Parts: sequence; structure tokens; C-alpha cells
Amino acid sequence: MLYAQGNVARPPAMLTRAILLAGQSGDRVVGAQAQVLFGHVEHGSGNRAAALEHFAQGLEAFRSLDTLWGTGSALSGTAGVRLAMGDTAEAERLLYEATTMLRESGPWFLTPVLCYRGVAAANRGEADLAIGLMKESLGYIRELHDRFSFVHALLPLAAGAMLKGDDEWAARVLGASAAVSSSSGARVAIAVVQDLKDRTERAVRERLGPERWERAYLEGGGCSIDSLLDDIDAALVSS
Amino acid sequence: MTELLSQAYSKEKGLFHCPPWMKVLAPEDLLRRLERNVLLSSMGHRDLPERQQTMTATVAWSYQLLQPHEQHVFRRLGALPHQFTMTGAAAVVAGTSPAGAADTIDAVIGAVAGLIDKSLLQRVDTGSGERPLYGMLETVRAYASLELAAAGERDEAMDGLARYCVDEAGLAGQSLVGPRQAEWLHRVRDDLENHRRALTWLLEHERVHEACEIGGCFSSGSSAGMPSRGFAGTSRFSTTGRFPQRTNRVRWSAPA
Repeated sequence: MLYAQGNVARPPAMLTRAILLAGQSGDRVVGAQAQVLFGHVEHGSGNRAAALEHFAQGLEAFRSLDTLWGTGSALSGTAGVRLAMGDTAEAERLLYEATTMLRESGPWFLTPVLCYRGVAAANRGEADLAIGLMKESLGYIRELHDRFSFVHALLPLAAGAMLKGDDEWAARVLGASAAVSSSSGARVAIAVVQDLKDRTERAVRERLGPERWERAYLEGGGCSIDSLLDDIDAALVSS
Repeated sequence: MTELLSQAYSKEKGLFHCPPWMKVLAPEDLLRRLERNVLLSSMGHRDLPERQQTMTATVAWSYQLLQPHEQHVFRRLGALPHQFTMTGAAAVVAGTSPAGAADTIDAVIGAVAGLIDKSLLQRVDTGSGERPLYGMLETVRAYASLELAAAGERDEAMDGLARYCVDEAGLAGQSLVGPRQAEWLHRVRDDLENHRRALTWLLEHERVHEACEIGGCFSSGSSAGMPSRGFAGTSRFSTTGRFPQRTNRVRWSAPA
């Protein structure tokens, strides 16, 4: 919960204790899950090597337990770090493997994978792919009411909108993400997503100028998932 | 009557606490409530707004008019902090009876229908007819809770709630991974306040094993910590316990 609220300072001590207690009680699933969460926290803190180590331990444990949702989640977390390190090819290979594993586990597990794939697509300049992936993600998010994923999914979408040259749409989407974050307490906790957001916002602000930026950004606060999906459909049809 | 007057008199304020109650309760019942401090904690103080005193007295009046089995169901529902399912209602009515919940459900359905007719219970609009939810207005629920305490049935009802939550957690643990994931996330959300209350009560009574069975569903194992990302992670909703209605149009507005 702290991690979802953007707090990466307090969780390490708690997770260390969780891993210790899980080991003492023989609860291997909880231990593996704590390792994966620790990986995300370390990634959020910028400690990529430590993050990879935790994800590797979680992956090994989940594989030995033959737990697909856990294995897929550990692979997805590892892919996020690889993406941040610029190792896009390896990240995409891991994301493909994770998607295959998580397909049957339920949409909740797929939204982080889709977000990473959206970031990778945006980084490559593939606007339609990034937008299409976030369309799939928003469909799941609408079903699940998952605000943490909502805050994240809008950022590759904004990057896609910017890449298509529709800066006002990008500003609206960024405004929508900020509004959800403000109203729900969910924060952008994934470093590569935050980085993409910062780059998108800088470029869009510069091109729009302060007045148009502010108008579109505030307008985004009133968006609904359905209106965002309508905008996506319109953009994909016109391309 | 002397005992009643002595209990009801506040030396501090030089006032009697309970005139509105004299209209709806028999002297023996009123005395019993005063002795257990049940009445005073709800509205005995004369400095409460008159409107609130009137509302509580109105609920008390309605309660007195219920059939005994309806009174029993009504006060048991006071153990439930928020909205609830018929199965949850049956569990608190059955209390500690091991197989009681299933046997009781038909009787509870009848009583619930009666309570809805008398405006003491409402069906909650969730947008989904598959698993109807029911709830009480806060004033009504607070009164039901007082009646529960007055009858000395709180622990009995809480035991039923705890058993219901343990059963639900077990089912959720199996269903939160797989094709019915979204449905089960909503189901767990609907029951969140009930789970919180059951957990608190179990821990107060040092029934740690059952508390872990409920907690395990939400923090680990097959649910993979979903609440931490899905709903507990959003402080506004975890503090108010309110979630948006299940609808296809979900709107988030910027804060004012």
C-alpha cells in the first residue's frame, strides 16, 4: 500500500521482516511475493541491481512453486528494470513471456505488463501501438476499478498522443492522470513511467505554451474512461 | 420507578436523560437500558440536536412495533458496519450455530423483506442484480447496534460475521486468480468493511488463526496483494470505505 502511494522509504524494512518471517514459518508464496514487491520498491528507489536481485529470487521461488501469476509478475518486474536500463530487446522478450503466463490469471496481472509494453512502444516512437496497448489496458481498468494502474496507463497514452502530434490531447490525458492521482492517493511508482511522463510533459508544455497547456490540462480532470476510450478510437481510426 | 428515576437523573446537568424514551419503552426495559448505559450513549444527553433525538426515538418506536423474530434479525444486523449480503445477514443471525446460516437464510429473507417494507432496511443499488446488497441508514444501524448490545448478543453476532468472512476469504483466495477475477474483486470490495470489523473483533478475542485466514486473502497468497494496488492503496477509499457504484461510466474529477 505504501508503495502504491509512492512511498519507497518505509517498505524495505517491512519487506525484510516479511521475508524473514515467511522463511521462519515456511510460507514460500508469501516469501516469493515479498521478494517481487521488494524488487518494485528498489526499482522505484533507483537501485536497479538490487531490484534485479529481488526479482530473480522471487522468480526462482515462484517457478519452483509452479505459480504462473507469480512467475509472470516477477518476469514483468524484471522487464521494467531492463527497460529502465535501456535493454529494450531483453525487456520485450521478458514481457512477451510474462504475457503468455498471465493471460489466464486475470486482467489485474496484465495491466503492468501492458504499461511496460506501452512505454517500450512510445520509446520506439510507435504511437499507434502504444495507444492500442493502453486501450486494452483501460478496458481492464474500467472492469477492475484499479486506480493505481489507471494513473500509470494514462502516461504511455499521453506519450502516444504527443507522438501523433495531438499535443492538446496529450495534455488532457496528463491532466486526467494527475486528477486520478490526486483524488485516489495512487502515485506513479514506476521509474520508467515517471521518466516517460516527464519527457512528454516537457515537450507538450513547450509546444502548447502556458495558456493552451493549462486549459487542456485542466480539461483532462473531467475526463472519464469512456471519453478517453472514445478519443483513442477516433485517433486510431484517423491514422 | 424510583430506581429508574435515579438512574435517569443527571446530577451534573440537573436533567433527566430520557424523556423521549418514555414514550416508546416500558419502564422495565428503560431501566435495563439505563443500567447498561445503552440508552445514554446514543441519545440520552439533552444537548443532542432535537432532530437527532426525534429520529432515534422514531426508530425505537418502529422497533417496538416489529414482530419478535423481526426484532431479532434487526438487532443482529446492527453487527454489520456497512452494506451486506443475505448470506452475511444469515450468518450474524445464526451466530455461533455451526450449520445455522444455511438453515436460517429462509427465515432471514422473510424478516429482511419485512424490514424493507417498514423502511428500516434498504436494498443498495450496485448496478448488479446477481448479488443483492442491503444496508441501513446510519441512524437506524446505530440503533440496531444499541439493541444488540442491550440484548447481550454482540459476541454471538460477531462470531457469525467472523465465520462468514473466513468462508468468503477462502472462496476469494481461489477465485481472485483466473477468469472471474473482476467479479471477485468487486465482491471483496463490497464486503471490505465487514472483513475489517471481523478482523478487529477476532484479534480482540485473540483468535489469531481465523484472523490470518481473512488477512491472508487480502495481503498475500493467491490474491497477490490485490487490495494494496486495487483499493487499500487508495487512502481516500480505505478511510471512507466508499467505492464507486459498479457502472460502466466511471468518472474521476479534478479536486476543487
